[in-house]
Amino acid sequence: MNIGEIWDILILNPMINALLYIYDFLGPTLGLAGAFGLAIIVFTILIKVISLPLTIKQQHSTQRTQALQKDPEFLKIQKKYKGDRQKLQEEQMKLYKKKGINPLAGCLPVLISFPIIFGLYGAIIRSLADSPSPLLEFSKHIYSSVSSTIIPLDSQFLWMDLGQPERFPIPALESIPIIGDGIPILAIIVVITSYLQTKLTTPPQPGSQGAGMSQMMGIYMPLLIGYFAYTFAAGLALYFVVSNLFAIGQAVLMNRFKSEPEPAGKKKKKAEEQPKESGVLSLLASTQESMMKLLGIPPKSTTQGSNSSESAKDQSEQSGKKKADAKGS
Amino acid sequence: MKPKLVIPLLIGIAFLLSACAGVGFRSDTSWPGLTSDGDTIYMAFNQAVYAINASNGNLRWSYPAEPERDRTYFAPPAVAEDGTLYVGDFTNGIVALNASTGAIEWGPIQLGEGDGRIVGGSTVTGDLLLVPSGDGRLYARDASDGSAVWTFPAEFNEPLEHPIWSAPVVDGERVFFTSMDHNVYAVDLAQGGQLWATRDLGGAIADSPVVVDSKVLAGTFGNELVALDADRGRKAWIFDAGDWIWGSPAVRDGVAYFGDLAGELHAVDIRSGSEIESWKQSLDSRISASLAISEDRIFVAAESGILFARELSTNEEQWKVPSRGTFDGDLHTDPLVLGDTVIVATNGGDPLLCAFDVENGSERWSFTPGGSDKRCRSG
Repeated sequence: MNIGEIWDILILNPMINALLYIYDFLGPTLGLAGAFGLAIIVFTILIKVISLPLTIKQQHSTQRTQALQKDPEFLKIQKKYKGDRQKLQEEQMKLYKKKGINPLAGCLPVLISFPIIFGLYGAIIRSLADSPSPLLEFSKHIYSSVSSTIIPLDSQFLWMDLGQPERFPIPALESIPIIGDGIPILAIIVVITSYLQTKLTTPPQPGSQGAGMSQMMGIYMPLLIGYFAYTFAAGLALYFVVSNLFAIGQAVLMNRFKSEPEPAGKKKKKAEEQPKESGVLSLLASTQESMMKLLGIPPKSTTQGSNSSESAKDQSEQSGKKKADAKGS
Repeated sequence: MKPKLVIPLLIGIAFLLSACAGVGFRSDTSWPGLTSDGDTIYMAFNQAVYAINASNGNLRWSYPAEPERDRTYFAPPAVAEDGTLYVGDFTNGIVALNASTGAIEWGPIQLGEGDGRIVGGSTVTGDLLLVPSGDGRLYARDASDGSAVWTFPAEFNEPLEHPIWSAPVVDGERVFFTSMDHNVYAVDLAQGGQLWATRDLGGAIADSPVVVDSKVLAGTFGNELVALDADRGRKAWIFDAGDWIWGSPAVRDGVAYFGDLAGELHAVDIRSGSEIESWKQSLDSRISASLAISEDRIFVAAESGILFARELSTNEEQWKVPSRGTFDGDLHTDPLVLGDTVIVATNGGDPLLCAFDVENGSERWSFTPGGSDKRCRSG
């Protein structure tokens, strides 16, 4: 058995068949229109939920590693061994060990999530087989328990054929070159959501060498994914959109809940000053705040005792600094 | 990591995604389409149509002179008695060529407005050219100039829900064709009006129906060979094969012979729909091509890349090629029997076409566009 066969048995086939079961349930059983588009949405969310613990762990790990980079002890080591790269690395590793941080811990969940992403990607592409060779190839992956009555899958979803690159037709623009075939709405949404997602999930790295790389990734990655969405099947673009929206929602929630508890007195005062918000309103406020921060727009009014993640972060940093100072003295 | 490394990293990710996409980015969307007028074999594959001398495998001509980037050909060409060759392409276009020279007689013309791919072969009957399209319509065109005669479903009606991938079959004044929408249709040859249509046979139908003894036989992805009454479309019997049936049945003396994707060979009595158990045989490879019969032999092109010659009456193996290993390329195209030669097309392999003696499987000739030193029996 070669590695391709192992990949198919363990990752690709279960994903393809899960997608088909969902399609069968939503389409032929419930009679919903655009069942394959809905199946992609449901399946993407399902996969995202399953891999959520890994994602959270990875983000926590990244945050811890980055918090350490502001630690006075870390800065001291950097200053001290500025000219000796090897020694610097040794001392940094010692500090990581001392603080109980594994700098590679953030990578492991990402590595584990790669097969999931690639498997899902392959499953969607294969399921959209629209000519003989791909369909014959696709048939090799289908379990006998999947009803063959669902083949070929109905690839229509809203205005798009999920097996073809997506374009929203606008008759008035038909004579104009390039956009005459239609506007690639999904590809545009993919670029925007990929940009937002990258910005929200990549913590700022001021002054570091990694900052330049992060900045470039933040620009090139959305464009690259947007290019995929523009060129390849609309089903894939739909997957990117759902995946990005999920990641944005997740990042917003994580930013909200990562805030450390504020001092009791301040909290009480804030509660007295602010009207009570429902969970949804609070989430919306948090999202708005994150977006404004992202776009560099200052808050309209500096409400006293703001519960923004920014101020929480500042407080967290300050308290961390105080603790470190106390330890140092 | 330096910022300059970001671009190579992204290219790497793109490459990885492309590799993982596998079939999604593959350029081969179908396999060679083969047909013959006896002297010449016509093969549509990728960006060209080839006319090959059936006796020695030499290229007579190819079309077009310069490949067009977006126009690919996989549907078996149709040859008319007047020496015109009709070839459909993957842009929903059809062209008429002089079968002797490859010169254009008319076209290419576009059929309909949809993005249909022409996968199934066209059929010529009298002055009428019938073209099945991936846009869910069957187009009837005047064979002499390509002008529209009728379209089914008619232009003002919605097309079929799924593409038509098989060549239509003409029987008297009726046209029968199958669709990937799980149905068989009977249409009036003169007007294009529907005579009857089935209501979901439980699986898509990729290959042509066979009309025999007032029955229409069609193999489905629902694992069934279905026999329909040719006059009304009612089910006469259903035979459960156990896996998808892709190819059309080959018929001889009241028996339908076919293979399935589980690699089983079946022989079914057309009158009763019952299997001839003694003939049933399992090959260790999926079978997607139709079987071909010549005198007392039946030829099976197995997907894994082996051509089997078996005794028709007993299903005993006579010979197989390559005797060891497999061809370079899978076998999906229906084998073609011309007199004492059986021809098989590999899916993009080298050689692309192989011709063997039906008696003993010895190689007659091989053909690869651009030429090749490789032999068909090198395995």
